[in-house]
Amino acid sequence: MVAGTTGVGLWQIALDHDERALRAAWAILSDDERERAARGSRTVCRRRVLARAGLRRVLAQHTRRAPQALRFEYGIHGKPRLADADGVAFNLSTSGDRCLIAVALADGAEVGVDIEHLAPVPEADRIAARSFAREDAAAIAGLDGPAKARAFFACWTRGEAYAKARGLGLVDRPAPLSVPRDDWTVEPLDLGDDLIGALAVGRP
Amino acid sequence: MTTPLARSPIFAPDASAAAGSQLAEFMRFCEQRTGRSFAGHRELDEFAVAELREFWRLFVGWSGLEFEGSSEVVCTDDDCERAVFFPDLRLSYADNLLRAGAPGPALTACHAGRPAEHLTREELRARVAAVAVSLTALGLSPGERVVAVVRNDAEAVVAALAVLAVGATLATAAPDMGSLALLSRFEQLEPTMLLANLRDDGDSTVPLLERMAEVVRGLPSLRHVIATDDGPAPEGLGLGFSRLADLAEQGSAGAASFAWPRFEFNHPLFVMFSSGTTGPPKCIVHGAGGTLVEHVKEHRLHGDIGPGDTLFFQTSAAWMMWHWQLSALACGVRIVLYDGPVTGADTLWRIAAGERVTTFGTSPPYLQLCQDTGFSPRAELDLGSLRAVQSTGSILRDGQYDWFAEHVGALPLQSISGGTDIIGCFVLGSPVLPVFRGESQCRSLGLDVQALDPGDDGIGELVCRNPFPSRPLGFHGDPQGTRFHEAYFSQNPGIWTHGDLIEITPEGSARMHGRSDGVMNIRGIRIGPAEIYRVLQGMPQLRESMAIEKQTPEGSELVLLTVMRDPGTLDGHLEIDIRRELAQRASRAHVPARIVEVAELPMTHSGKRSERAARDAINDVPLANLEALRNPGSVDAIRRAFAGKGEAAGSQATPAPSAESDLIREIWERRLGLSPIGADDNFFDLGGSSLLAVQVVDEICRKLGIDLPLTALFEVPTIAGMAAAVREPALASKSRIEPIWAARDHPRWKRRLIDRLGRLLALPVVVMHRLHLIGFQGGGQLVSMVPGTLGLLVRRGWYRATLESCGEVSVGFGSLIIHPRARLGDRCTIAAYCMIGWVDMGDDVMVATHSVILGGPRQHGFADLDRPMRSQTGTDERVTIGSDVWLGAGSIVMANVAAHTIVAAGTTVTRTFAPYSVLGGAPAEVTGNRLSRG
Repeated sequence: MVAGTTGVGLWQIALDHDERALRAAWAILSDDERERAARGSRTVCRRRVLARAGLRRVLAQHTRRAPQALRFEYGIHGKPRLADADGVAFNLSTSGDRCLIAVALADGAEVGVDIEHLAPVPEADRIAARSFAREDAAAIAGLDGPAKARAFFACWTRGEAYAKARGLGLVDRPAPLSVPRDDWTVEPLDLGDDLIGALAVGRP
Repeated sequence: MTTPLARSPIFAPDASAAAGSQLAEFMRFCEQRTGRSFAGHRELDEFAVAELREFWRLFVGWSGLEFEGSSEVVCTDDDCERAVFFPDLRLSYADNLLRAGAPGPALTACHAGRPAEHLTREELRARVAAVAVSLTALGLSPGERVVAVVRNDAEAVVAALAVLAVGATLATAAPDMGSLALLSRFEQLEPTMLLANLRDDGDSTVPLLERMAEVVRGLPSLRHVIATDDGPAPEGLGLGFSRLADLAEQGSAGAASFAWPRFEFNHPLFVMFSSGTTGPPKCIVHGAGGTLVEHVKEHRLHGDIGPGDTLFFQTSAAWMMWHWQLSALACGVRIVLYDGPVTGADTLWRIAAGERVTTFGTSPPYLQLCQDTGFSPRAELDLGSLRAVQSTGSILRDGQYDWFAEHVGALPLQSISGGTDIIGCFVLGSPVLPVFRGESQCRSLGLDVQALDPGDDGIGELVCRNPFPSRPLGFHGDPQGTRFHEAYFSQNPGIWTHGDLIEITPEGSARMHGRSDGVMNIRGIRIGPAEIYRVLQGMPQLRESMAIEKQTPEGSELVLLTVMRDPGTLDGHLEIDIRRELAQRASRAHVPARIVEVAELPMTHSGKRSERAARDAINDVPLANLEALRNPGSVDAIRRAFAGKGEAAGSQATPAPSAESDLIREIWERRLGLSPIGADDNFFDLGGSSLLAVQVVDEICRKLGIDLPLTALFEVPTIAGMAAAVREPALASKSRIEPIWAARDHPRWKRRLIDRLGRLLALPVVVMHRLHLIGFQGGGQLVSMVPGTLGLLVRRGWYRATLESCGEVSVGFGSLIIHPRARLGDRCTIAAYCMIGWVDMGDDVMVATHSVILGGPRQHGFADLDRPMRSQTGTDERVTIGSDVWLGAGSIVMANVAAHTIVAAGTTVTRTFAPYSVLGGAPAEVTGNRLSRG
């Protein structure tokens, strides 16, 4: 764990609620969040609304404020931060109807989290060769079946979590996704059979 | 015979039987203790819900169960999620099951092809105690988890009760499960002991020993394996191994002095598994007291069984009904177990008759099998001992009640329904109430079960509004209760929401209507088939349809089986109509990847459509139980229809795309599993993930033999943009305009320094403003005239101190921001001589010189022709400028500008356009699109 953080809280939110939960979630979003959610297809909209409302509720607990009172600011690549609460770092990742939120009470530290549903990736070798560190790509190429998928996703989520913690854009992130330096901790998350994830904590 | 009225009961208990029931006895007990009087079941039910604490305290007192401690505190909270029952009571579940009962056997284990075994209560108690002594000697201690893969036999009961007597927590499964299914359940529990059958019994094609070896390898926390039979011993286990018979032998000396330790009312007793559609199976932890009290209440008050009665419930250790029937021992009842196959319609009835069973528990499919094969239990067997039949697992059709009355007899057919989640029932029988066709007689006493927000048809979500003792303690591995909350309480806070649909009749009986949630999981999205069927009901060409999940190497996809009104009429046009209809009226996620016409859908004996059978057929999985189907031929037909479709689709060579965009569209539609996709639809708005984006780019590159950065799709997330990028690969990597204020070039310390400096320099003006010596606009005007870098720093400091929000911006000489509630994002650059009104500006916005952003188009009113417009109040509206917008020199902006827009020099923007537009003219029109340039 990085010095100065008081631990990272992880929250899982299911994004498959009924209309009532959706309405409750919608009510606590800001206009721009609603607008962004509404751009998506019905399912995407529903997931964005629930994820964002979940994030607000989680952060509300950490900041002792009402969920709808929170204001977000966005970094150059859209990474949100709380407008007027220093020391709360957070990040959110969704995959299908699962959502994971990482929150750290940390002075100056950043967190990033990424989750993916485990599934075979037929292009794993090619993507690994182009996006991952050489030794990781080699290791993945040497595997087969579920182990290959698991290794691929372990690497993928690690890179995503790190890039998201750093607030790097999807385009600007280093390629190959380098293994972070000493002042970063990137931990795999055990999320069960069909979900894999990683958590990155460190100082930018 | 006249046609019975719709609401006339098919069975009514006679008055003397009702008066002699345990329910009537309990009712009299309550009357004595409370001074109330209860006219019947309904009044007792109302009392039990209204005075929930009194009801449970009275029941615990009446039950005669052995507790120690005080029942003063019944329930700590009115919120079902938080409530804790009987925190001051302690008990031994096993001891309560094995106390005195009627003489004769307490347990009868029937097998296929060999005689039944009988154990008296004393024998059972002694054996359980002996094994418990041995388990203690093996180091098993309270709170440890023990997992069991056992058949429904006497050894399973002995082993289970011994584990529970010691205070360990037990999770059971059946030997017909595969090792992966077992591991996904057990590994979460980190068990220390495994109880298992090792003798093969034709449960599965993979030998039991082999599967158990895999389970052992997958559970590193195990210390000891106990075989419940004499099957071959596994080799090279690397951990302790015993046989149940040996443990019983070794512990027999100490059995008499076994202390039957008591544990808290909410001590974890059983872990049940509930496989959701996502994630590993949930491990539901049930408490000892809640389980025992609820089961005894259901058996005695609702089932009316007691000493002298025999309960035979067709179940396996993988199902909660195993635990439920086990607890009947606590009522002095004899239980009958059967671990063999159901080879015909008579199998279970013969056991019921032969063992003189008084309550027989079965399922709608078995009763349907009897009906379909013309088997009449009453005609062929002596069922003279039978007093009631219970049915659960699915919904009994109305017609099955009539068959039952004719071919079983004038007995109550009790449809009971609850769940693994509550290890008990929500609705069930009553010895004093009539039975209506298709209905459960009543709700479970003390549980405020209701249909929430019922529709016109009376059907609503099954909820339990009040706390109940068998509410699980939580999920294992969910210490915060987050998943638990999500599963049952997130929909209706404080109220248990079960996920079933229920209808409660005016008489208080209940009709179940299936699951309220979906069962399919397409790429992580839960799809409720009901929604698909609702949409398709509006299409008269379709007679019936069934939505199924098909596994593919890329994940699962949605397949729609359709039965056409006119066979053979499903063609390409209709397929498109179906897809479009679903995309528009449900969602794109509801659009099937494949639509296949079939002659009929598989139906079970209970008349239920078997999604399971269809799913196995299209996934090419051997169907486990073809006999369960009324029309087994339908499965082969589906298999053939589907294979034919697959070949047809595969045999067509990939059509040569007429343009890049066709190929891209085809790839998108397949990968996202929806169609049609428009040229300007955003990939991420359609549910695309970053990994999927990379996969799509990889496929496009491969198919077109070109090289794009894997991140291309993030830059241009539309089909049109992608097609342009394919034609001009440089677009995909260079389309972003580099902000002039490249903040990332400055290290953090330098940005901070600039910030501090700016604030310091602006401080005098800010202080004057705060002291009301200078207005907001005056301050702005003052700082606007400071030249050079000093001016940039001062203006930044000023606006950061005074605006509603302001990022790290650069405001040029002579520029004014005249509205204090304006917001500026990070790295916005405003050149010289600009006038900015009430604006909400995103990040990385560039505003060239002499630009004006007005506070909306209606700064002054002009409706009144007789007054000067000067004196008519206008409305100031906030203008939103998205991120990464470039406003050219001299532009005038009166409307919102979407992100990534370029506004050419001299343009007057009066309305809003799509992102990535290039705008020009006065008033502005779209002159181009950044995505399709080149």
